[in-house]
Amino acid sequence: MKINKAYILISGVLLLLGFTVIPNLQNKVQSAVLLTEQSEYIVGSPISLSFNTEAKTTQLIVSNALGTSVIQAEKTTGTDEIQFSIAEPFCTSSGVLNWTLIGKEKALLNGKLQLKADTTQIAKLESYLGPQRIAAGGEDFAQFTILPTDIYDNPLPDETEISLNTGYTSNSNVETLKIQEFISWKNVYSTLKSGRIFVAANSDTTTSKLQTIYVDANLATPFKIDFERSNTYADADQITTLRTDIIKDRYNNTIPDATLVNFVIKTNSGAILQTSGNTINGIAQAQIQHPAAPQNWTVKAYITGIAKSNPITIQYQPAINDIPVIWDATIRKLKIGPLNGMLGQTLPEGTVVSLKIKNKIGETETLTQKTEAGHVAFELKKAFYPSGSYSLEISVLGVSKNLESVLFKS
Amino acid sequence: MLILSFIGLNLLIVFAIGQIMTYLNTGADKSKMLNLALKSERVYKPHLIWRDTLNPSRPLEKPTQKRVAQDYLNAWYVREVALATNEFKGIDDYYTASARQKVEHLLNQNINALTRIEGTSLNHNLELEFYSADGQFISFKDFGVQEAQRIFSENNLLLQHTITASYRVIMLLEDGFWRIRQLVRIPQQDSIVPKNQVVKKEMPDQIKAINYYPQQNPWDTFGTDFQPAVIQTDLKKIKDLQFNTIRIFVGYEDFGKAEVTPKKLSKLKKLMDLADAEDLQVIVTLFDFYGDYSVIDWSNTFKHSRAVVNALKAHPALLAWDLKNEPNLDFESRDKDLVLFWLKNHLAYLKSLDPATLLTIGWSDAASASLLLDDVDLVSFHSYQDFASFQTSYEELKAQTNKPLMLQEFGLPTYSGIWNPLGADEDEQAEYYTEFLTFAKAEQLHYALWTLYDFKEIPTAVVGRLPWRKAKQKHFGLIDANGEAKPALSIVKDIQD
Repeated sequence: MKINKAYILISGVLLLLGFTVIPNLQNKVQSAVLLTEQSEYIVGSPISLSFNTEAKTTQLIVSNALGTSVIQAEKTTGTDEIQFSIAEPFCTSSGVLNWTLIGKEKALLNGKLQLKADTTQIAKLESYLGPQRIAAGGEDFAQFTILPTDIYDNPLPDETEISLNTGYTSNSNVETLKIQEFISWKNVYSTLKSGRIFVAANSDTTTSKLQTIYVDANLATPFKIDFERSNTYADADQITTLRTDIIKDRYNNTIPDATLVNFVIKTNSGAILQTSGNTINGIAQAQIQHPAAPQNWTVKAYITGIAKSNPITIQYQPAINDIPVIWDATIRKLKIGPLNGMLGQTLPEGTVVSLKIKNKIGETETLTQKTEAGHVAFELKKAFYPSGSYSLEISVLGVSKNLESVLFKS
Repeated sequence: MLILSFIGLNLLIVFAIGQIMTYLNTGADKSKMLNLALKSERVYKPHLIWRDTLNPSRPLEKPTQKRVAQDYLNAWYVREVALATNEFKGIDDYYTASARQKVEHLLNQNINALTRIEGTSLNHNLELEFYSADGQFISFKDFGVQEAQRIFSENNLLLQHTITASYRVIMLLEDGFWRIRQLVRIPQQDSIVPKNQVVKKEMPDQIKAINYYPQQNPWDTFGTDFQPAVIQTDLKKIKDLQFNTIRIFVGYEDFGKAEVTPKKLSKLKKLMDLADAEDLQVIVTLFDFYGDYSVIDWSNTFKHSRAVVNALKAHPALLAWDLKNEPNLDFESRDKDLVLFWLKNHLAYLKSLDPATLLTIGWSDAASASLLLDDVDLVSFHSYQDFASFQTSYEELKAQTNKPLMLQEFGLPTYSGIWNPLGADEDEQAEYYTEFLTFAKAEQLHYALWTLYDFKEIPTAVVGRLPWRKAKQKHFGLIDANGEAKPALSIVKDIQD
């Protein structure tokens, strides 16, 4: 009969513990009774568990999410009553606390306590915000997440209330949020106007960090471009400046600085040129050198994948009227110049002059020279060009002059 | 002479400078700059599943899902290691400053109280609750985490047990790590898994089995010498000898430890198919040559079982899982409590994976077989003693349980030679089997002979290096090394018929 009792007790303990292998099963089985009735505590308050057991050496194993520890029995007051006081960090951590009473290396009893966070004062409202920059228009949002904790850094239970303050320009808005599953969160949507939104959470006892959401302009809308130049000539020297007007989104917000605008230029010969600029206060500008020959350009600007401008055309006029030429047959020297621009000015130093030489049987050769003080000279030596009749074509800045049947003498 | 010594001295100096330069150049490994080194082989492998990733905020991307899971497991691992060693390594990486404080507080207490906890988690079932829009904050529940713990106080084992707990977790992405910000044990939900009543496989009237290794590659059935044709011939022979079951061995390391090699599994399946074709049943012995048992290694062994059991549990030839061959031999070197703790929990795990298949442990003697009687379906033990001693120990065991018993290994080597001049001859082996098998038949005792063949080579891992042990182990067969039947062969066939 006694064996039978012991057997029931052992299997009872085994059943309680799940799969527990108890060392030294052959020892006499001892029993224990939990005297403490309270099973729910507020963190920080003293917790002590009392048992009645005849076991001599006893320990209490306590475990929570952080880990497991062993507590020694506190006092034996001559009776069979023993007591364990559960100290930090166990008494200050919320959640389930499991305990097992050990007597002589055997599990005698086990159970659990429920520790609740101290809701009387919220010590910290940890807040997370992301993303920090959002686009105007009311579709984009930043998420404000709050993790409130008590003075022992325990998350607070569901339904705890916090208020959320949102401020934009002079308007501010307060609403109440409830904690659910440790946290509370709110999506803060953008305004139509760009600017800053301030968000903070607070409770009776504390406030979160003030978070700032930057509302930037939304996507750019189609824009206009224009150009500016000091003259209209294709002199390969002056610079044309391309410029956008103030680029805005559909809510009339100026797009953020440093938005890249690409200006794409199509010449009438089919070539494509490109230049780019970044916006400052919504305006982007870019510069490009005048062509070296009269051309018509069509220019269009793009914010890649987002917006484009109207096309504009720019015409470049010939930069010179005439090419004065002197052919000195005896020394076989072709003197060109003075080359003057439309305003009578000498062409810039280094303007390229090309000379195309064609002989009777159609063989050609092109020579180039750069101007010095508006002049160039080509010396066509006998060793290279046998005597005979040649045709010459001189071109400067897209303007040409032909000389037919020029005699090269020996 | 002077010049030579001058040159020699110079060479020495140049060499010394070279060595110093080499030393100075061996600084930190560049690959460690980006925390890449941490992605080396994982050692902690509890079964983790994301049960649900729906949440009211941002959809959880697959890579994040994996990364969070990995970092969460790492957080568990570093904490388990810290609790076991009372060192703080890695805690910094996986806990935020405020969470770290709490963990370290507890660890310091344990250090002062000389408390140490060897623990591991075995499974994690994650259910996402919230994943923030900017992808930096995640909160989820982890249900029904089973944890095994061995609690030591001043180096004495106080208690070893498993507990089941649920947690709510909040993690933050910091410096490329997901770190635990809050980890709170929450009340257990009621089990959501419906407990189906699963019918155990029927026990055959009498298991007449033989422990099987191919003759050319004993203890390496599934190695490079795996030849289905040879196995098929062997199985036909076994069937012809009127056996109805074979017992085979799955090496823990051989099969790839935690990461079970699919190739090995397919070989094992092939063997089972061949057995099925011959109408033979198979007892699969797991964890051969495994000897760690330490709690921190459990997640690996559980993963191993999961792969093998799930691959084979539906196989028609499968009769029983034999968890471990002769684990009682590890009692001394590995601590009996620890080995039993592992066995008991592993049996429970096998049962959860495959409730239908019979479970057993191949104890090396009848005395040990009385351990964990409640946890097995078939009580197996080995005996290489003479008949009289066997009978005594058998009767003792029989008195302790109503569960079916199996003499899972027995046999007599036919070796007499330089290492054992008084060894048995082949006729004695025939007598031995006559005695044992007649008894088994009368008792309806399940049994498995050791073994079909004599072997030419015995791997050192089996019985050690000692030549007299090896010599003995080579001659247990019913068929000798040259393929000639010993007299016992026809005796066995006749008795079994």
